[in-house]
Amino acid sequence: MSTAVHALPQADAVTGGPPLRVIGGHGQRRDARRLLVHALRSALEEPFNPVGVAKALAVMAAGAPRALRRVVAVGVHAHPAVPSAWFRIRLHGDGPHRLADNRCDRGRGGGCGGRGGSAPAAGWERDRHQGQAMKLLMTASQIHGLPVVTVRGGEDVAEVRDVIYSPEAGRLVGVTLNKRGFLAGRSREVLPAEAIHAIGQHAVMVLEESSLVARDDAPDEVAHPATERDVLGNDVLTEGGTSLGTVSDLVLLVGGSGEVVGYQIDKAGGGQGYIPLPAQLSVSGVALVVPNITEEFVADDLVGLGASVDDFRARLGLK
Amino acid sequence: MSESFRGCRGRKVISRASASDLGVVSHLLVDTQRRQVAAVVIGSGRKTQLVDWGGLSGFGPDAVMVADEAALRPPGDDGERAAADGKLELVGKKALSDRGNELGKIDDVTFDADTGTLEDLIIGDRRIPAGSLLGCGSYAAVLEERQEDLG
Repeated sequence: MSTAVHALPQADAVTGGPPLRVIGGHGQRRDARRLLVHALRSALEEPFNPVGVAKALAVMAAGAPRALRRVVAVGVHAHPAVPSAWFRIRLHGDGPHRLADNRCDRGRGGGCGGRGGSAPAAGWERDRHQGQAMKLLMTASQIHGLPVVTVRGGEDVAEVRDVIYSPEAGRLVGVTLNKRGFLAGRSREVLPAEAIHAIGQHAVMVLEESSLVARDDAPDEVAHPATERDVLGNDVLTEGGTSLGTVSDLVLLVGGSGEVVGYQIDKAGGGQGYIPLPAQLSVSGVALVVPNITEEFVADDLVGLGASVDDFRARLGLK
Repeated sequence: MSESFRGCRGRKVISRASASDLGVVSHLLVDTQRRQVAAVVIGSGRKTQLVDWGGLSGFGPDAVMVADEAALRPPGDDGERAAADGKLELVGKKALSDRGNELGKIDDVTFDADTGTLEDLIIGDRRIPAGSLLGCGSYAAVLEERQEDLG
């Protein structure tokens, strides 16, 4: 059984422009810092300067180092004229996060989760020295709209419409497709997970166009997802009966098998958070029940989630 | 000798038999499977002509030499016509890794002027060996992902 996850509104809609890419080489990072300081200053100007605020928020969404994001967030949030909705969307951002780069910045300040970068289990992290394939955490709404590109042909043959996954198996089972191009409609073909070569930040790769499967020939769970079991909006309850919030997106480990490792939630107390998932989970379509210890592992962002997933699963395994 | 795709644009194509000027190089077509220059494209639009790499008598620093005018031919089919119109031109193409990550835009490509073998793809200040080229289409050139190439 599977569930369709429809994309959330893109954060771009808030400020209009594309999110700024600020994480890269050292030069770029310094630029980001200058931009942030400038943006913060203009954000706090009187009278209210919407362009300055938009810039500050765009910089945060583009993956500025966490400490800086926090400084801007606090500054911007304190401004009475900033709509709180803007703040919420932009702080976590829907743009492609360069997790590994964020993680590097934090690593210098003492590491994530106190485990350092040496643990082989932290495979989602980009590691130049060990030559591991880069693994990324991406939300389903970041995968929505990515072009599907053939490795051998270099052609964009479709784009992702819905991300379909099985909560029971804890993994992606496939994606449905739209045709490529302006005003192009739904594609008659789908892409089962087995036919996906890789999911990256900018494209879903398939070997060739024939990797796309006609809906009629595809496994039923991909071709006809049970939409009534959409997990978005479901209540997240611990076994002890505490509500952690409602599901707003799901988080996948891409670069590998497309494992679903967590959910983005609208926290019961307000704001957004990310919770790790055990490898398997039972869901009803109304609520999902998670182990009690999940409460200790609620992360503020994808980076924090990435650091805590393995710890979380290790703790569950011991019990 | 090493040549670059950008560097040879606009170079004269000369017939060895008549010493006449047959046009200028507009760009090069690539065989992505063999990582070779497949043909030289001369002119553009309806007057586009091709010379297969094997039909060249020399690829020099000042002129590209062909035996005679008979070496020139119009594009064979629709696919080749699209390629000759620059649809598959590597320079300026988005480079995408086979893991789905963008590597940047291909600024230039170097090749061996004697054999036509591609050497390096130049993306910003990075040089990526042409051996990692997996395919090229109208959307992107796909390269094998190596950790050191990720921007």
